[in-house]
Amino acid sequence: MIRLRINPVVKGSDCCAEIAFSEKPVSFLGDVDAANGIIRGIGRVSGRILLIPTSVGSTVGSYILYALSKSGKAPLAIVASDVDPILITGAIIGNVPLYKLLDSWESVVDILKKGTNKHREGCIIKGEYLVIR
Amino acid sequence: MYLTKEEEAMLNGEFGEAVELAIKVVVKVGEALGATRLIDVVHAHVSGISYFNILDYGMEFIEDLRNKGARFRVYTTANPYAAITADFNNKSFSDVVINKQLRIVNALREMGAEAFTCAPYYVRIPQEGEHLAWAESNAVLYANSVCGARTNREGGPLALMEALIGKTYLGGMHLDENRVPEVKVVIEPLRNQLEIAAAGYIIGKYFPSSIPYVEGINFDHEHYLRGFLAAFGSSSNAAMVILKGITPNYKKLISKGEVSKRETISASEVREFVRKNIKDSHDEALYVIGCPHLSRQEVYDIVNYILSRGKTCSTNSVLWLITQSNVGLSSDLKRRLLRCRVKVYEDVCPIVTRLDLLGVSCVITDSVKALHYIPKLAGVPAFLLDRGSILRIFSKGGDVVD
Repeated sequence: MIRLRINPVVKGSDCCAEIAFSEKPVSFLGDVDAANGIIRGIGRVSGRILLIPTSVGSTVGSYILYALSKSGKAPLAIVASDVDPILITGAIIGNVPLYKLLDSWESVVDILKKGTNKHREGCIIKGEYLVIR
Repeated sequence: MYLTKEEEAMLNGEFGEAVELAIKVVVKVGEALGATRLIDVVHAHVSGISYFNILDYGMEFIEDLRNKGARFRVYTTANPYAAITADFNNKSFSDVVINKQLRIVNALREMGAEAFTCAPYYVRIPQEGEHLAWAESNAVLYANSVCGARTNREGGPLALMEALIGKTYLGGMHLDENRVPEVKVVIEPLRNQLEIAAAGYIIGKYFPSSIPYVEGINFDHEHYLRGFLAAFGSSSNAAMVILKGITPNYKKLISKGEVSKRETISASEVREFVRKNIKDSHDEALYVIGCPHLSRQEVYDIVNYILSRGKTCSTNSVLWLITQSNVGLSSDLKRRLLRCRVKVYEDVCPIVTRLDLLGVSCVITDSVKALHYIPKLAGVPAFLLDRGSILRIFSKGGDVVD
């Protein structure tokens, strides 16, 4: 079990869910199938905690987070190492809880890539910690 | 972040649901970027309005705002939309696409959008020192680098939020300390429009996130300068270029900056780029002039050139001239141009239009920005040709407007 420090940008309630992880930044415009809640290279994100370094690409990517919410396929929460304007705008208009990761991204990648268990569960606790089992 | 009483009230929903959402976004983005307060802007410019880019999601979001009674609180313009008014060899877009694009445009109009253009600096000229909240890279670069106004390079949805509150966060290009060069670039003498635009693109490739101080380019025409900035904006994330002799107070700005790197860009490198991308002629191409949108002066120069040489031309290709409706070209002139296979389209942008769906096989343009984006966004290959040569194809030849 590891405990990562996080800071709320768009606050939500505590939750536990499977982690959807991407080592690389996500381009919301182009990589996301909003109707089905699937991100290319990650798989299903709906109902999961999305853990990513940051987002890249077109700024209209913000609308995709809104779309995921509208179709009921949004992640339960997003934890990102760098919360950029595209992500923040999208999280607020889509009402998706967003947290900034305070620990180093490299350490997260190390831990998650080492494990053989592909299905890791995470819990957001008091908006201050992401605990991964 | 420090908020005024009015801003607090906005955040508490006293100005309605849309304003509450908008200020929440701007404050959160500002906080993440280290801003301590908000500032008023005099002009917002929204991008990301093509149906092909934002699809139903963006359309529904924008309509949702309109339905909540959202109105822009400051003078606001928007980018051009997909070229739904266009046809190519009698092929046009489906009613579904046309209607959805019109829904986006109508919602923005109802919220108060004053114009649809990528050259908002011709609709309302920014004054030196003014604070703006602009999306659209070529416009941002023009405002900061040529007008001396201040704007960050906002994302489309963020600029929309800023338009709804008439404010942005105080940070980035709004602060003196960030309006300084980080690299110095000297360009060997260049000969023409395409070379100058290509130089902008190459500078951006070398320094994708630094403000450059650029020496050595003579911009003989305003559109050379705009083509250069637009090209730079498609390969760089920077919001400003400091241009010798053009950027207001450039001497003061360069004296404050700490230039860490110097680079000379050779004329041969620039010419090689142009040579690799040029296409002299193609019999069934779509030719495009107007990225960024043509100014009124450019439109009339081109129209005079073509019509004064008259006659139906022999090519099977078509030329689109892209501009904004404020230019006010009469329908009679447009009809006369049609005889030369020249069509004028207003308030739209071919880059954000799926030209492949119209059966376009290739685009030939005098814009390096269009060359960069058309294969990615419009779905067809693109090539370069200078404006003079393009106009010769659509007229009887002779001296060319440059």
